Amino acid sequence: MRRDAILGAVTAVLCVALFFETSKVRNFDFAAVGADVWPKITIGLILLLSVVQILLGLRQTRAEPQEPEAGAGLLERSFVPLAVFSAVILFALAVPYFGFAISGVLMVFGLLTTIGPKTGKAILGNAAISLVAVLAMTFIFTQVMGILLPQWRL
Amino acid sequence: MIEELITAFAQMLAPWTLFLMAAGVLGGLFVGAIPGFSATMAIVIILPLTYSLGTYTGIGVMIAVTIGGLSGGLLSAMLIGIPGTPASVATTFDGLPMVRAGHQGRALGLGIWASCIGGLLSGVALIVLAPYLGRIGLEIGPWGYFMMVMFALTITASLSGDAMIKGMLAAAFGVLAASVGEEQVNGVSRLTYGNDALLSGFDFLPVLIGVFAFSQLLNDMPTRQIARRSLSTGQTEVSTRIPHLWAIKELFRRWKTTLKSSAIGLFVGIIPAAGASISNILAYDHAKRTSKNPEEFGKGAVEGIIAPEAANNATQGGSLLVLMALGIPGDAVAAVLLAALIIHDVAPGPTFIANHADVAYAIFVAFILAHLLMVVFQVVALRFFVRIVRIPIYILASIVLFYCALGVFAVNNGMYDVWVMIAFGIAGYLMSVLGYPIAPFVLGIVLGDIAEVNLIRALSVSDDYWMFLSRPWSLLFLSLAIMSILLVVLRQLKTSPLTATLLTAPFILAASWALFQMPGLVRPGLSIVIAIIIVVQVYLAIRRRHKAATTWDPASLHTPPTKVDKKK
Repeated sequence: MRRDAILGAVTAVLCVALFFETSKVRNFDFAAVGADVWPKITIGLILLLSVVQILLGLRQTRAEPQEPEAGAGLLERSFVPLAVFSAVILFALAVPYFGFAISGVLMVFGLLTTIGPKTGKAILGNAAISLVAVLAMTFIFTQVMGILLPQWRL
Repeated sequence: MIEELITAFAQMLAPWTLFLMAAGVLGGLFVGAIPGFSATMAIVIILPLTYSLGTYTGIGVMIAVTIGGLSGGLLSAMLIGIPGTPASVATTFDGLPMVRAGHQGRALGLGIWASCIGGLLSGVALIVLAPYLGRIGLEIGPWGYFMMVMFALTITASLSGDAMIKGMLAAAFGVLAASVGEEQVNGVSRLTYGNDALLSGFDFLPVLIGVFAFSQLLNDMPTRQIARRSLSTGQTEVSTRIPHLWAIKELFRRWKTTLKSSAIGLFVGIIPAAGASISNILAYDHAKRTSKNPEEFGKGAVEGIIAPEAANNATQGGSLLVLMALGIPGDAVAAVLLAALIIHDVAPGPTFIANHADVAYAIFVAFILAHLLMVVFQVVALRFFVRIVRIPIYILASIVLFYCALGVFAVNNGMYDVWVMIAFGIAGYLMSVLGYPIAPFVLGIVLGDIAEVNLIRALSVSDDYWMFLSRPWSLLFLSLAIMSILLVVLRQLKTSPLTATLLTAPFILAASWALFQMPGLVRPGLSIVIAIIIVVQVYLAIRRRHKAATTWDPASLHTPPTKVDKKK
């Protein structure tokens, strides 16, 4: 498939960048095997495999005519992943300011409301679910297991 | 050994430990029963709750969660036809028809008791075989260990079938990710791009949670419409009464199937990368082929439930055997379990059983006890399951994501691990979307350090690269690694049987030569048998080819078959 050939090419470019980074490794004189050897072997193998992937991708492209990618539904298919990753990234950014528990409640509530139905009753239910689920588990971690979680700080 | 076993039983039967193990089994059953939430997820979700526990209690709970997670899959497999875990795929073939025929209690009873007996048998094998395997582990040496890791990675990648190249790329990227940060031997930093936060590398728990949790949850809810659905089909009225005595009698009446399926499960568990997702299918297939009534399979056959359930639990014993004796996790469940054990100060390896016999036997005893507890709590889990499958997926997923973040934070009490989880979550999701298998990547991360440390050890002892070919264990695993790739390539190229036999024979003979050099009588004896079989196979393949060539009728080229011929 053409996609595989493109993925192989991207991987090969990535290998060059990674190989360049390994050349900056400063080894100790007494080291029997340098710290750059293992990553270089691995990157070399990835490069080799990516070349095979490109060749296989090109061969399959010639053998089978490409069907155009279905454009319809792309937004719908990427909605949930985007919502999930945005929610967890915002959660991680919010933790230093709002603390773990409040950020957690906001994340769960945000996810439930974004993905789930948006009626008044559903939103109230989402608020209750996020409060109970997050605060109950936070209570177990902090009070029963004695783990210190980041607190509210504004 | 007896003394250590008694001590281990005393440790594990302490009321508080037993209570927490029961809770662990129950938690594992709950998570494993939810379709899409595998045994791996069960460990990942429940592990943070065990951080503050002592070593014995902590590992007891983790083993309990693993067994619960694996066994929970049978509930959804039978009742709604969706396997809770990949290890229960074959259970749906006969479990669902039996349930649909109105025998829910019987189907569940058979599944539960087959799981229990399969697990108990592999638990006994674990206790008997682990010390011997531990001794073999000491023979392997750094050359052999390095090659064993290579074999584990190539066989995992080769199981990806047509996507073998992607599987190998995923494994190599996993190995590379494991090398980020300070090098293990000399502490030299690498691949950090000047970022000090990366100096400590990636703890494998945040990576595992990120890769598994995100890819699995997002695959379960690809669109908003699907995410709002519940997992229940609403077609099955579930009765929670299980005829235990009847199920036990049926298992004893079909003791051959139970024993053979457990043996298949145990054997598959010992092979790296071949987990319960394979063993349940193999055992089902074997039971069907050897059954007196193969036509009943697929319509609710008793043996069709016993075989996969006995095998998938026995596989965990085999996997644990290799993990404990050699320190090599065979599959994703074992990799996560290894991470959990390390958190509880247990680092399995060849000397582990000899040096920490008390802890090792505690793990074996926990494995056996967990299976007994599993039988008791399946009924409770069944009642919970009936309710949980009515909850929409997006609610479960949102809550689980927060629990994952909480658990990851608690590993080192820092947000760095949460960011690592998110980054690898994105990577894992993209991998699953682009068709890269996740399991080789995870094994690459877990095994990358082991491979590098053993390579450095081997080259520090001697810079003679020939040692990788001359040391028996190294040669054995190298031959197996090449074979695992070669077999997939030959299948894809659709080569003739003669070509396939001639190309694979040198590597089988090399493996046989490696076995011949090993101490004792069994392994050299086995090598002679393998060598004879391969020579006979080559001879037969040549003869068949010769026979086909001499019986070929060139006239057939000029007389293409007519419609009349075809009818004949």
